[in-house]
Amino acid sequence: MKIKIQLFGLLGRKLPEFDSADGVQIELPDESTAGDLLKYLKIPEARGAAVAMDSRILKSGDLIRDGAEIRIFQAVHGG
Amino acid sequence: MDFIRVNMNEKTVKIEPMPDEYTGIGGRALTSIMINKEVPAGCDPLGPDNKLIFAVGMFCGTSMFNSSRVSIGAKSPLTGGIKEANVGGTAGAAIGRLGIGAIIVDGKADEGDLSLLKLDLEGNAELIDAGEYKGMRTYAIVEKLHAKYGDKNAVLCIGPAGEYMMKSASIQGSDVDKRPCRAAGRGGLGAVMGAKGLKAVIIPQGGKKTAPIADKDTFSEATKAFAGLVKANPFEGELLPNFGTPALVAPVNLMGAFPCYNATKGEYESWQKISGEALANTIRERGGQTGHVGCSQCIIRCSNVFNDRDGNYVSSSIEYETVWSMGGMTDIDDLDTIARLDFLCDDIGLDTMNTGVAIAVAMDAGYRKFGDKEAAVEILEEIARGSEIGCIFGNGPSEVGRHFNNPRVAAVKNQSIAAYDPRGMIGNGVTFATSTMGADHTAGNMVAMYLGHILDPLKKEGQIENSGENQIFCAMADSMGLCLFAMYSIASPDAKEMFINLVNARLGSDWVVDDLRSLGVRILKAEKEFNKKAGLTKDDDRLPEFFLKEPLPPHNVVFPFTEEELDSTYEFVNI
Repeated sequence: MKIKIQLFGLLGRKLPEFDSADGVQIELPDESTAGDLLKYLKIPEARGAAVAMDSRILKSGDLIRDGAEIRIFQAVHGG
Repeated sequence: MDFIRVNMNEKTVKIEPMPDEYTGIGGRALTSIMINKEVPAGCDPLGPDNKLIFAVGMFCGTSMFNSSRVSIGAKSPLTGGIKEANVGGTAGAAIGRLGIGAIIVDGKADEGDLSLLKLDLEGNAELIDAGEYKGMRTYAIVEKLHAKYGDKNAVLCIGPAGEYMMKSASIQGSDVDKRPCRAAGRGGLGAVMGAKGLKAVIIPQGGKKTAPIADKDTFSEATKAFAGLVKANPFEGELLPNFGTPALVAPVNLMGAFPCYNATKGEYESWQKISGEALANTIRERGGQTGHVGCSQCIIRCSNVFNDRDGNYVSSSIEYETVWSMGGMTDIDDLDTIARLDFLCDDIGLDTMNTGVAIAVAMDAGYRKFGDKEAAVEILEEIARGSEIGCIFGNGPSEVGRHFNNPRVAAVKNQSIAAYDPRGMIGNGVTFATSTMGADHTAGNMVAMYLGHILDPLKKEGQIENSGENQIFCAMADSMGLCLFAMYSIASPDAKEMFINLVNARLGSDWVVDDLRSLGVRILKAEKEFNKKAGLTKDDDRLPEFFLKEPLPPHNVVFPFTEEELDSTYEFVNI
């Protein structure tokens, strides 16, 4: 499946190949999960990365929808 | 440690040893427990019986990093209940180094009479006539005071809004760069200071009278371990120094919980123009500074310095909450204007949240159009002038709502919510509704639990209990004199054990981890007691009706909790 990803915080600087204001399209196997996506991007979940789709934060095992626009950022505590 | 008691009727200053009953507590614990004991709950918040208390936390004045928070407490003219707002910058550490635990100001000066309170390196203090500073904005008075008394002094001061006794008036604190850009913003404490006739407190930074540390070796060792935890955390160690708190703009929008257009939508279509990433890029392009050290002994560096296109200073310490209140709520998607509004609030001495939401309520009522940048600046200047309409805006969103007959006011106990919509992050709604302080994100922010998959922000399960525990934790944290971001690093049981070693090394005490929670409960109990005596009831622990009736896009949900469920949040205090 094809999805579009956009990175925020320092993730864009750490992964310049995926850093674009308009997002970058990537291809993943069907039925990939949020955890699979982070593995593909080599972002350790322990670093507090959060994957958002359709205005929801996905858990590691949640499936990604084909054609989805995914935003990934680092978790925060509060302003 | 000593107390400085100042009476503004008599113009007297007395130094006394801290009474035994307050030994070992500081910050919010000290302000709230003292206010509950010493301030008549039914008093006029702007009258002589209210007390304005500046209390440093347990670690202020020590070598501990990020230990320059001073709590300021009083009965609030905004909420009608107890209030504590704490501020960073340089004052907390400076007061701690003078061996002063608290400055307690009571009485009320004659109308028009204005004073400075000046402390010296021995921990003594005197009142000085401040007539020449009357009406002065905060940047101007700090510059004058530094020129006259030396620029090594920390300053806490009010601007025109405080002198007018407006309910959104802040107390501003000077930062490491000598700018009054740090705010004890919430609850109208600047109005209490104005009512007392106190324009500024001047504190020398070179004191050497910090209360002794009981076990220096353990303290030093535990401080290093604590610093390691903070630096290793991706939020404190990476995100904050690069983007500051505006790093939250992206995640909160992407969760559909960023209240915009006066809380009619949860995702702002222009959020990428005002995000932390956009702000940091703009700052760097113009020769400003991210990763700025605003507070004494800071290792996190969440502050920033924003310049205009010509590289001239505009404002410093632009926070997520301000980007939201002056940006999303008002549909001002322009960082230059947001920075200008941030500066004006600091300079006039105003809470950016209460003021931005007040403007949004007026725009929602049709007073001006959403997105009208010039109108927002004009409104702040009207507040500074003290005009009739300026006084309405300066008293906050509830008064603006009454004036324009707009019931859509995102406030609890007259204090505006912060940048998390109660329908998109329902646990934050529980905190806003039930906090003793009125709507206040620092009373118990749940955002990390949502991003960390601990709770679903839209499901009721676990929200009440976790809001309660979070409020207990934050009350305790506000008593330490440490930055809340540093305190977030002690969430795990192991980290709490390390932190208890630090507390015991500081005090020579034998606290156990559970004592941290007990302290938080004790504080909230004192605050609840005061609020009850002041006439606040369960009916005040409610969100405005529109949060219960108007679904918020994109999730199209309302705040789901019943009144009984909300009332169970504070069962732990048994009041």
